[in-house]
Amino acid sequence: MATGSAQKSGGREQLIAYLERDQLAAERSAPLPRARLRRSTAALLWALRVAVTVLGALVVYTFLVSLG
Amino acid sequence: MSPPPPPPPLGGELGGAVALPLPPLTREDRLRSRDRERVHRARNGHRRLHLLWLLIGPGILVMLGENDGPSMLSYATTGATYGIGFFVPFILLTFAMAYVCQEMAMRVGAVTHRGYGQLVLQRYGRSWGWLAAIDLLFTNLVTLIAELVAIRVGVAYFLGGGTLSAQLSALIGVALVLLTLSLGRYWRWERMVLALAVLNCLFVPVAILTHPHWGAAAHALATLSPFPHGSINTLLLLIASTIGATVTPWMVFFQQSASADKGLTPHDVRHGRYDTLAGALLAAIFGIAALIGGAALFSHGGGSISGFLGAAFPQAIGARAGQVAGALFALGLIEAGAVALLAISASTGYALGECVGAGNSFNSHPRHAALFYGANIAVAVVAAAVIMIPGAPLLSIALNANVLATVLLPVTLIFVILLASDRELMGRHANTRARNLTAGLIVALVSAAGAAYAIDSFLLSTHLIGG
Repeated sequence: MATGSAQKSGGREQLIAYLERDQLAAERSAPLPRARLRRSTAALLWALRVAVTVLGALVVYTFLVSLG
Repeated sequence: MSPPPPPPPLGGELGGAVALPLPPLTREDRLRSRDRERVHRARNGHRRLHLLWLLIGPGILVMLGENDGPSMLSYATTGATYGIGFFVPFILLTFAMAYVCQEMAMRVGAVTHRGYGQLVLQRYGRSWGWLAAIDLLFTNLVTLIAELVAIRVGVAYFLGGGTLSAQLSALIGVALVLLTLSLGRYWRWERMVLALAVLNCLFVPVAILTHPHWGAAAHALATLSPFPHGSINTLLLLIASTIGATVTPWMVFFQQSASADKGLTPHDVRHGRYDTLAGALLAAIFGIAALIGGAALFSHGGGSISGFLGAAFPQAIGARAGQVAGALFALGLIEAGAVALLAISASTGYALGECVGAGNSFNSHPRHAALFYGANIAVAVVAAAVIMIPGAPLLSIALNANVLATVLLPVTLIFVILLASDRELMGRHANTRARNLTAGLIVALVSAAGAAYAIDSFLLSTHLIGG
């Protein structure tokens, strides 16, 4: 019984021996910690939020005008 | 032949030497392991060409996928309107910029083994992750509609316009998605789509059959001239829209996720670069061929070809350069639309699966990755349904979706740079300062062009400026 279990385990290891550990499906879905942002990066992301909101509104307005 | 040396210890670069208990194995792990075993054997056997063959895929697919139906029609229209001149080197330049952005996506996928959506969501918060995914879902849906319309333009060359062409195009699109998804693993999906993508070269014989002035093309390539004449606003809009569409959000999502799904590792980054570079070069050559093919109509009223997405183009090229050229152009459009359809629907599946945290691999059984497979199919089915609605405002939807994609593009590109520069994730594979500077300049240019395109479209549609 123990031999069968060891063989099964060995086969399993052989099967995935060509993968890096973090390539396994279970590892790939493990959560990662949040990135620590520098002030400049945080400011850039805020500027991006504003730009996306303004330009996105322009596009929506343009689309509505073109339908109208 | 001697057996290959034993494989590297499980854990690779990031796992270290500590023996941790193995997590439960899935079908996805087993299939990916088989693919990696072949890579390992080729690498240790010093079979360089075989290794290259095994590792190419996502880069060529993403670049030829970007040479989609609407893009090829757009290149041909540009050639017909402005001639060869400035736009031959310009296309080359845009693909050089695309290479820089896509190389980062490939590298992040190979090093972290995770998709773009998942990394943005986990590292920078749910709001950015979901914004990227929802933006992608919407723009992909509309792009797929445009792809099916391009397929319809190609089909109509052989069957004539009308509902039959629309129905057949919709059927071709959905059937291709179902067929490729039924192949059961990433490797087969990739090879089948690659085989289809190679047919993007059909635009080369079209260019040859139009008997272009090769000396003028070489002169244009060397001198970026002659600069086209015409309305400066229309020209700026064209340049801004082309630069703004150099990289689209789906390309970043697709290449990073496909690189991870294929099982690329940090050892494969060099080959990933060859793959991406080869894709960029091929896409530039085929795009230039479409431009040259269209330019045959330059002095024959080609600029006046109208209709949604240049529906009369294959017929016009057929009349100018012979029926074979027209038929090849039409077949090229069907191919370009089909490859983009497959890659874009895959990127939708990857993005939704990553953001929800569900299975998102072609190596997974549909039972364990229902959202991935479902999104892949659903987005194609919805796009197919839309093109069959009589009187749907397809032109307005396509144009505004294109603008929205370019407006949101900076978000995608900035996060790619942040991820590729993240030393916690990337270790020694993180962007160098020089690479960050180059990528930053390209992103600034692409973002400025995208913003200019959006603002110009707004001003034009509200009649605040003339066309």
